[in-house]
Amino acid sequence: MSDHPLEARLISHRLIADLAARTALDTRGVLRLEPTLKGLLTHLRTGTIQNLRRTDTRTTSARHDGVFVTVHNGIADVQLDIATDIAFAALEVAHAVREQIARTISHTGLIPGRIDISVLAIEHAPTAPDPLSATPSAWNRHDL
Amino acid sequence: MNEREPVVLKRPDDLDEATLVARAQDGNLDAFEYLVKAYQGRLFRLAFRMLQDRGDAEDVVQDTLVACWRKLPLLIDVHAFSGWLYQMATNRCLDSLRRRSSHAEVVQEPATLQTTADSSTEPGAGGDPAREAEVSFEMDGLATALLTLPPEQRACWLLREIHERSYAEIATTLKVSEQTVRGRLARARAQLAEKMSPWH
Amino acid sequence: MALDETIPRLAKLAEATRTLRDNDAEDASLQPHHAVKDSVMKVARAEVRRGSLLPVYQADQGGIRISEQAITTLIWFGADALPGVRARRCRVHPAPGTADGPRPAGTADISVSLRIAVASGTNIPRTAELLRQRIISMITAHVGLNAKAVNITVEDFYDV
Repeated sequence: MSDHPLEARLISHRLIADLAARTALDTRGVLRLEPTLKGLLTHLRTGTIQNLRRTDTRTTSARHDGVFVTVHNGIADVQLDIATDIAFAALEVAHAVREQIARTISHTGLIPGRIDISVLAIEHAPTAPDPLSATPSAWNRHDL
Repeated sequence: MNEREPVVLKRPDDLDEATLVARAQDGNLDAFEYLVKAYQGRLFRLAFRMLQDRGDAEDVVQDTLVACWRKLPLLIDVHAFSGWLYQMATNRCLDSLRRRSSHAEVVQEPATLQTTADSSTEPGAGGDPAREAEVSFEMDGLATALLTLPPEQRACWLLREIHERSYAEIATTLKVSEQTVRGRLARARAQLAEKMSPWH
Repeated sequence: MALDETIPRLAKLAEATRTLRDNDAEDASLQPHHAVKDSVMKVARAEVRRGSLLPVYQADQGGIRISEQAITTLIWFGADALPGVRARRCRVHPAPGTADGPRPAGTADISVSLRIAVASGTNIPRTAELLRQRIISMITAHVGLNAKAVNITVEDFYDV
């Protein structure tokens, strides 16, 4: 199914970034994506950095807060910055995130390429015992 | 994980200030936020009595705390934190007054100051309305008289008498000798005592 | 001004000073607007210092890196569980010779320098050894690194 170039082109880098972010946030032990300073600047000064990047590169790329995706020749590379819960081993959480993202990408028909995970922070989970309710709040929090 | 260690969270309230400063130096936002909460009121009161303007005082507080975050890793002695913070705030107040000094110093009317005094309680007045009025009157007189002091004298007096900073620290803050601090303080007291007397 | 006039005036000033000090400290209106703290924290969050990123896993399909600050937090959490210890500044470095090259997790070495304050009356050698063991096991369990050197400096005492 992943052999159709037409199908692959229908999947935008933005969609992959979105999927990768959701997959990461659904993984146990992930508190949130960590916006980097670069990500915040992109947000604050609308356009300038993004435009530079667009004109610089031929491949399509997208940066949400904490997630950077490049798609070329049907292969998707993902860089993800996360904060993890102290109650989980950060390394195991990061491995789980990598595996899950690779699986999610292959479901889209694209080929998972390099998936790099950076654990920028390890923290106590905010006192929300229900893991289901943690996901939307984690989204809101980095959405400055 | 194979080896699940018990993880205990120590809240900032359970830690001493020096430890919180050290953790903020290493980028811990919870520790830094705790310090911001602990100091913002004190810094605002210093700036407000220096500048007699809420907006200007808030600018000084914000500016000081942002600079604090940025320069914190450079602070060598964690116990020097509060003095260092007061120093940054005082210098920003003096800078703000220098920028203003092309205009005439605006001395607020006692009527304007009254609004501040009205909103406050009067500890020590003992519920005697006449005595309360007298105390409030004295405070207004003092706050107004304070604005007639030269900025560096005002800073000296506020740091020592209201914020109870040490002579050595004030000397460092204002880059003068301790003796100069004592001299300025004595002059400030004498002037304030004299300025206040017309109200009695 | 005559001396007999000055003394009562200064006494009156001292009293007014005390009143001003106490009143200002309790006056709810003499606090900055909450927007001040909000914008300070916004800047702090945007400029948060994570330190450098230490590689903990590398493969052709991508790698995993952990920030120095994340490891520092881990160390603070570990130390907080020990009675009589307050962990302060912490430095984490890759140990020399383990910088690059693909390798399985759990083999990279790091060195840790931690400054602590201890409660007065704490048995320092025993506490430092417990802390060292704890840091080593936490770093292995959580981030798969090997804390080869853990230097602990007692810089202060605190009262309990």
